[in-house]
Amino acid sequence: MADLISSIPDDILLYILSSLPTKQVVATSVLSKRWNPLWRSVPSFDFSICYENREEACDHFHSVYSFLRSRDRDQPLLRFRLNYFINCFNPTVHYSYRAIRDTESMIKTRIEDALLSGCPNLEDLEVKCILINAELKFSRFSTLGNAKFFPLEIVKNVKVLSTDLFRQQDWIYEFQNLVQLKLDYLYIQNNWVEFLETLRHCPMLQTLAIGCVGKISFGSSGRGHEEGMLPDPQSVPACISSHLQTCSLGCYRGSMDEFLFARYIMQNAKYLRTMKIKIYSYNGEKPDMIRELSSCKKSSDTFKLSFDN
Amino acid sequence: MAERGESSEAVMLKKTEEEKLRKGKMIVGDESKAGYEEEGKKVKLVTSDGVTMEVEISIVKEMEIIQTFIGATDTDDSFIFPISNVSSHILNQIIELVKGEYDQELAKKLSHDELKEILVAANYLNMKTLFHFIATAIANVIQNKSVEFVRDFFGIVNDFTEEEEAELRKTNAWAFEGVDED
Repeated sequence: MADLISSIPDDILLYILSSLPTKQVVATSVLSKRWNPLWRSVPSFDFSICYENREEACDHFHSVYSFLRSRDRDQPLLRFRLNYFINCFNPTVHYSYRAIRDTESMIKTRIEDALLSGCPNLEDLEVKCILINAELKFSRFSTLGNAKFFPLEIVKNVKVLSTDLFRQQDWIYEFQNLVQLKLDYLYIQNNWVEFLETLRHCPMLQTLAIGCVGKISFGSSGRGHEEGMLPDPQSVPACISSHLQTCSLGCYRGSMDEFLFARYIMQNAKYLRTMKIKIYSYNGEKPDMIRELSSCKKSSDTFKLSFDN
Repeated sequence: MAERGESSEAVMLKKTEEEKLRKGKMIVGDESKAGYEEEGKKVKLVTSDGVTMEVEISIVKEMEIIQTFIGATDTDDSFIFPISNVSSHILNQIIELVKGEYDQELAKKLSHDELKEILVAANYLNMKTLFHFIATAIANVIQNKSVEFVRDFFGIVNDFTEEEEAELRKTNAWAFEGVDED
């Protein structure tokens, strides 16, 4: 068996390594002399950064930095994943928001460097920065209008995109290859119809997963407000009418935006196979929501509508 | 019909001719469509341990190495293809995985040796979906495992001295913290 594996060419080993977290990829440098140089060529970047205090943040940042500096820059990145988590609820740790912001901006610069320098063929992109602290979250919001967290233009050729932060105004490029889009939070500015417009930029989209739909202006996302302007039925975005196969909505609270969006997908996606809705209900409205959604007219008989708890 | 000066018989004849032509084209011209015509057909493969196995054409179609060969010759029942790098046991496993539509649950039942042998076979037979599937399965097995586990899994002989290994670990110390128990 040892002979068998030694006969496997490096590109196959790189292929296996490319779906592992970067930390483990770097650890393969001590396996043997043959494996030692391989990690520098692995075409992926996959970091989970989670920290409780400034020191840890620096350690994590240092890992990312030393990785980016040591990898072979001639090798493309096909996969880029960054899960970024700050625990701001630990009462024993004193936080300096400025320090966190500084670290964030350093990481941001590094990410942009990495993307600019090494990945014209990027296929899979996941960037998540889960910021528990509300103050920080909103301060980021207000600045993001001018400074984008990551340069979407550079990653517009990806096939798989997963991100927690999505805003229509960033979505101006053509995502010709995008087949899978996962959004943790979809912030709708005025109404859901605007989101459909952004989907026109992803003509090949097959899978759309939205974790939670929210409004940027707070306090008006409850049930029963006016129906937004209905889109022209003649101009359903191409991806919905001819490619979309899987759609999932999480955190469904039955707001008009959510309902109209779900209904629109079910009525217009001719190739839909699965529609998954996870209902979040705290006052017994769930059976009504299920009834309402199940009674929508459907564009194809073959798809399965399911409700998660 | 009469207006155009063609008898209905002549039209019928024309139709059959067109149909023949279309069928002929399907078989000669378009390989992917020709496969449907041959549904249920089997191809004989001779494995490394000398076993002749009849494998459904739908599965053989995923083996690009054989597919190029089939494309170049006329296939008939006497067609036999030797696959000298794949044992009958592994070929059976591959058939199960393809039939099971590449369910990762199936991969969990495979031994470490089987996983590696299927990887090598998928590469040799040029089966792209199987290759991706098995590479993912292997990555799942070694995910977050220690260096020692990965060495054991791949049968890697450590040719570093203790000092060399310690030095390497020091260089990227952050990569060796907090791995799963083996």
